[in-house]
Amino acid sequence: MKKILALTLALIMVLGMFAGCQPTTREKANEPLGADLTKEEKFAEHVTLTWCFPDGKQAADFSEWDRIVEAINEITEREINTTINIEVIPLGEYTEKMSMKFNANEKWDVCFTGAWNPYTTAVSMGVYEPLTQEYIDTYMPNTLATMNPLYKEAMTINGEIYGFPIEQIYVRQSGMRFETDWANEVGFDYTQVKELTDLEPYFDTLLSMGYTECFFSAGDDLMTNLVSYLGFDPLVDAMSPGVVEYRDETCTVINQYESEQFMELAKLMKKWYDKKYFTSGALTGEQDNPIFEEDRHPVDINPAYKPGGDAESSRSYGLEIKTIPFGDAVLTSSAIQMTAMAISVNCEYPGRAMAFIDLLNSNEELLNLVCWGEEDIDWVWVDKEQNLIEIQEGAYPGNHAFLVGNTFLTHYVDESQVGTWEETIAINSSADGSCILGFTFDASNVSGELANINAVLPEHLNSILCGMATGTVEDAVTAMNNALYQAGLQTVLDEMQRQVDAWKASK
Amino acid sequence: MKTKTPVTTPAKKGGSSIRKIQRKDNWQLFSLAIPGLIVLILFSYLPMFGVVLAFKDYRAIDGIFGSAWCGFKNFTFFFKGDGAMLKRLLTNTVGLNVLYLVVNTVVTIIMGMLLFELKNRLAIRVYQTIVFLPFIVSWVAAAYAVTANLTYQNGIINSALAKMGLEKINWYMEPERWTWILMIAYLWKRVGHGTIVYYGNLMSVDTSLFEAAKLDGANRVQVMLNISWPHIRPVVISFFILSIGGVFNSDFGMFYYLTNDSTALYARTDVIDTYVIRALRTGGNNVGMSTAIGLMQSAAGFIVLMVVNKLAELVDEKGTVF
Repeated sequence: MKKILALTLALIMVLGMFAGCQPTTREKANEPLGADLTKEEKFAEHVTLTWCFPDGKQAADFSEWDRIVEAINEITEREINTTINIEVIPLGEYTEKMSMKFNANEKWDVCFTGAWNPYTTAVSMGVYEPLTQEYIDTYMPNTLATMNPLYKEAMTINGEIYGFPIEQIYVRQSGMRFETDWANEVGFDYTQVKELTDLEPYFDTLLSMGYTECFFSAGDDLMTNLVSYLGFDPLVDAMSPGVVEYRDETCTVINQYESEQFMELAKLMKKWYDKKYFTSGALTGEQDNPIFEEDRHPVDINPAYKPGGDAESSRSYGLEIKTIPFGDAVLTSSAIQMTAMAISVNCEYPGRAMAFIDLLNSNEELLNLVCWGEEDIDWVWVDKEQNLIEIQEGAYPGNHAFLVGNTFLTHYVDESQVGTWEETIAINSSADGSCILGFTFDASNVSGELANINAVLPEHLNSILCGMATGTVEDAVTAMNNALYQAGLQTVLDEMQRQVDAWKASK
Repeated sequence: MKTKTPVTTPAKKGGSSIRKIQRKDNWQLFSLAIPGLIVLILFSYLPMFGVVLAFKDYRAIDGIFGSAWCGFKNFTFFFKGDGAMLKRLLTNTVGLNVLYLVVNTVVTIIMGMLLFELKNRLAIRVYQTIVFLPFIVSWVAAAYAVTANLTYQNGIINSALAKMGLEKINWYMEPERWTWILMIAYLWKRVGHGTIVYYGNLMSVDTSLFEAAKLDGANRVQVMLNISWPHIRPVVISFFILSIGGVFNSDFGMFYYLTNDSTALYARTDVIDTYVIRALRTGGNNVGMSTAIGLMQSAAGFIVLMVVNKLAELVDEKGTVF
């Protein structure tokens, strides 16, 4: 008897576990379709949606966060008859948390995807809803009106669109950030810097003045931060081998670590390390240790230059920072995929979810509420004509607009920013398009090789780009490439070329 | 306790009531074990069904059952890579684990016996607490302490070296030293736990044995070797066998956080677990591959465990696990 009881208990527990493993694709609600429907017809039914939101400024820790949420819901209920359930996730944990949600098949409706929570990875996991043209026409008329069709192309994977880019700077251009305190002290004119070597006189002066700080943050991040300066359009990410030189009309896939540009960079870093422009901490991770020193460098490379960004970073670092654009400005698929919004394949109301994204892209009141808080409580107008506001003392810390919606609709918070949206739009429309703009690599056939490459690369790359590889630079680079090929690089490059060729032929 | 043992209770009707009382006693003991058993079932047995994922191309959207079978595809990636890398991973993983395990066992036995020699109650409590405390400190917290000591610019050790006019050591750049640094860390964290187990075990030795030995004129070392050691030997062997099963799994926290994940140290500190994290942390479809690696580690560990268990029979049958 007892045995039977025990067995039954065990069976129940096991079955209970398996219940969670069943696919839980929900039925789609019957949403009205048609571009000429009225608001009342489209939004007759009241709907609740969950929005997973990366919080870059600790907005959710704000004591009056509930007030902001309430105000957000007031607008969404009025405009699209929808209650938004905001699930706030700290930016630093966003990628992992979303990945957990995907793998556990948890319920959510709308989420940010891109630089955090990579778009193509999530698409290959099959967790995003493909957005059909009929739905887009019905529920995203405003976004569609402002969006350049090229951007839609960049989001297309295997003929389907799984997300909508958030309007911001799409062009990929490195920025070189200077702390003006240091530059002014030395009397260095940073506006004239065109090449990395132009920094040498500045660093030499700093050395001769007795500074021993780390002048420049070297290391494998340089591959990401200098990607357009080096002239690459990466197929997986800037660090993973496999790129196309974006001006190359033949669209030949190469291993960037065998390129001349890379060799030159490696040699320069070796020279800089020997001249003591930076310390060994760059390699061992000690330099960024918050216990010992503030993470300050006279020069920093920022992967994405954007007009008006200095006011933002000066505010968050509490230092005066000036950024100059550095290297080429290129329009690439991966840059456009950096900030986008996607809808869950389990979402019962994809149309309503799209309407919410559309609202974030077009409703100034809602967008600025999420980004800066409520008018007259968190901020006040300085100059309505210029779209300039002033943030109040102790107000809601706000959110990064590029994680929320159309950044060109947000208010300026610093006088120096006025006019930068127009400037950004001009840069977006005048930049060179990469030769593979609109192509997205599907890594599923070579995931094993890529995994091994990911594991092998950092050990070599980091020491080379910190200038600390043993032996000559040439030998170290050769050793790295040998290790990469051992890990299966040739298979990856062949697969990339095959897909690029197929994409080109289909155009 | 003695009055409660069933043997001394008068039996009314043969053995059945003894069994009844025994069962009652067992039930009390069993109830004490329930929380542990629940944890064991929830976290060690139920998840075992997850190993099917090692043979599947897992897509969350299709669920565990719905995902397609893919044979041994998930297992091959690990062996496809560089042979030299594979050799290094195995050497580091197995070599360091065995080294640390052996050293830890020896040190723990000695510590346990030394603690048993102490007669001052207060001193015993103080020592117990001191050696046990690190067991509950996380590696992340420990890593900060290690960095504070070892960092090149302002580290405590390097500052001291500089003060003494000696040359600074760039700890995070020199892999050879880390075999020993990690060993110290491993002992620091683990010794206390084992010490208390062995000490507790020694408490159960019949004190008359020690008194007899004293009367016969045995010195302390002789007592340790001839009474204490034979008594705890089965426990030591059981512990060793159980630990050796994890010889292919490393203490990830130690190898990852303590070394600052410094790429310059990989030659000596890169183990299977850190390699797998590096390989699979980017890209989303890696549930299958990581499960496959985990399964391989466990299977290999199981084989080692069985072999060692067999060998242990030759030493002391009482200590074997199976």
